[in-house]
Amino acid sequence: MSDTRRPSVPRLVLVPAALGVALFALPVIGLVSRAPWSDLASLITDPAPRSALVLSVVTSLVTTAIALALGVPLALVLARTRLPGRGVVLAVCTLSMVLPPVVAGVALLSALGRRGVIGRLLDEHLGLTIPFTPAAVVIAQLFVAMPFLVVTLESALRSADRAPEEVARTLGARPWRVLATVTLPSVRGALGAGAVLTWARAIGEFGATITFAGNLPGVTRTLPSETYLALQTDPGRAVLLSLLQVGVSLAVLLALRHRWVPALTGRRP
Amino acid sequence: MTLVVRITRDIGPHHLDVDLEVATGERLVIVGPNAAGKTSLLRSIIGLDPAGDGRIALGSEVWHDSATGADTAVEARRVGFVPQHPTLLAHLDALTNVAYGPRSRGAGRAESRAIAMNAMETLAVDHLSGRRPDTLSGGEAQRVAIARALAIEPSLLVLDEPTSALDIAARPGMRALISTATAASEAPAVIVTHDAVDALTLGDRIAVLEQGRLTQVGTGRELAAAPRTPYVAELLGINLIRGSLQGLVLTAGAFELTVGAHDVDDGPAIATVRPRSISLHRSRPEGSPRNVWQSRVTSIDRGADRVRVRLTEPVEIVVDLTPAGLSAIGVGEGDEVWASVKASEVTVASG
Repeated sequence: MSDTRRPSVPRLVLVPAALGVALFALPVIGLVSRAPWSDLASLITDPAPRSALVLSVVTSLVTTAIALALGVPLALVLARTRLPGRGVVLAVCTLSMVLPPVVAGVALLSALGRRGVIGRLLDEHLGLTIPFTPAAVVIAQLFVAMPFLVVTLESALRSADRAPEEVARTLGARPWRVLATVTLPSVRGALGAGAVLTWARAIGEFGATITFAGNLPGVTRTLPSETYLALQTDPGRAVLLSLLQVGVSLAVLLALRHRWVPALTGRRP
Repeated sequence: MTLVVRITRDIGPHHLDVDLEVATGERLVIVGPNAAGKTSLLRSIIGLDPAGDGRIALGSEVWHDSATGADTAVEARRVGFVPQHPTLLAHLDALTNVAYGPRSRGAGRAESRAIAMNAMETLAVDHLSGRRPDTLSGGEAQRVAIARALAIEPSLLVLDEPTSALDIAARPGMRALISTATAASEAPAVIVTHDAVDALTLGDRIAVLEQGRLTQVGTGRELAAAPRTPYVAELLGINLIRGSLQGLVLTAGAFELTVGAHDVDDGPAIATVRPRSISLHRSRPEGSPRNVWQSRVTSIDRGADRVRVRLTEPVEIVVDLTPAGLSAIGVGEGDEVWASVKASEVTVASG
């Protein structure tokens, strides 16, 4: 028990708050109650969901790594330079957050598809085809998920105190050292939160993936696609696959909550 | 090595237009009202802000020269900078913070830590080496920040308002530490403050910056003898008594003053007393263990809400009273009067 008296809220606020919790909890309860647990054994031995799970985990991790490699520099440039048209660039880079994923998929096809603006050049000159490959899965995930990292990190960088960086420079630290030893450690909470949000969005990505990368078993069929397919033929199997994804997501969030995602759990870094 | 700063720079409300020199081992204090441009001047010297037109050089190193376009990067200037707030890196312990400079300048890990430990020992903060910044008090963090600046063997020391974040009781100790730190380095030192006691005790010379311009540069004694602007007079409207300290007693000729608790060594010292801390009486006050002496009123200046009474014997003292306070005592120019001040109101520093 805490000694300090918490600030109280009007009691009536509890009702919509409880409804909010129900909105999130009931579907999960629904999944658990409708799951045909007796089919679990056959699902585990079936190689199709296993390859979908592996594809989902691998592509989402690759996406997160690329998002960090591109998103950290992008957030730095947006937050720390006097880029002309900064607002426009930020809007373009975060547009996919508000797009329906299927639209994102169509947009990617128009750019990178075999008859797309860039896709045609890649196809003619290099013999490269992107759509319907695991690379397309990663690109689709990046397109919709990386903005979460960029937005989280950019706002943290912009509100971070600049004084420690200035002192580090007076002490003789060159720009790379300042970045690695002062700037990034000072936003490590946002960096972790952004990376986890990006990963979570990537592993759950469905609309853009199925539009741009298709649904080829073992190549581009991720767990969400596998689940959608199962729903057409075997709803019980779809429920089990859904529960598998709930489990994976929950496990990661719980494992990371203290160390890496203080921003997600309301703790200060 | 002498620091030479000759720059003009637009800083918003006015122009910064400064021409000053600081010699090897010299401590120059820059005082001035808020928004006078003190921080802008510091940042230009350090290299954190553009320096505009002109030249900044330390010995033979030219840090900035608008004529040639030369502009040395901050990290290459080797300025030991102590910002107003300690600004330690929160994720590193105190020793690693102090070792950060040597490490950034290419020293090995063990060597950097040895240099850092040495700097911390010089300032008697080595017992804090393993502590995280968030477990340090404001004064402790400030000491570590000064050790960090010393650890790079600075060619110039720059301190921005080193006592303003501390409470009154902690300030004398910090001043003593700054004296130690600047004595430990041959580097010229530039110290910004708006505390008169800081200025008088830390500065070999004081430069007064008002609205971007230097209105007066000189020793504390020179400024007090002939203040050139109202700001300087107001700032130095503080009593300063030089003498010889032995224990809690400062002797200046025939005058003896009991001072407040301190950690200043016996020997030459400066005592300061605020004009408001001194009381005047018609007859000898009795009781309480105070400094009491007889004197004569040489002049009375009446302000709107304050009366400034000057006494000359046996030392020059300025006393500030309220108009009601003065009429209650009922003294005029030329009258004999008794003055008293609590020992705890008398601050002492090594001089």
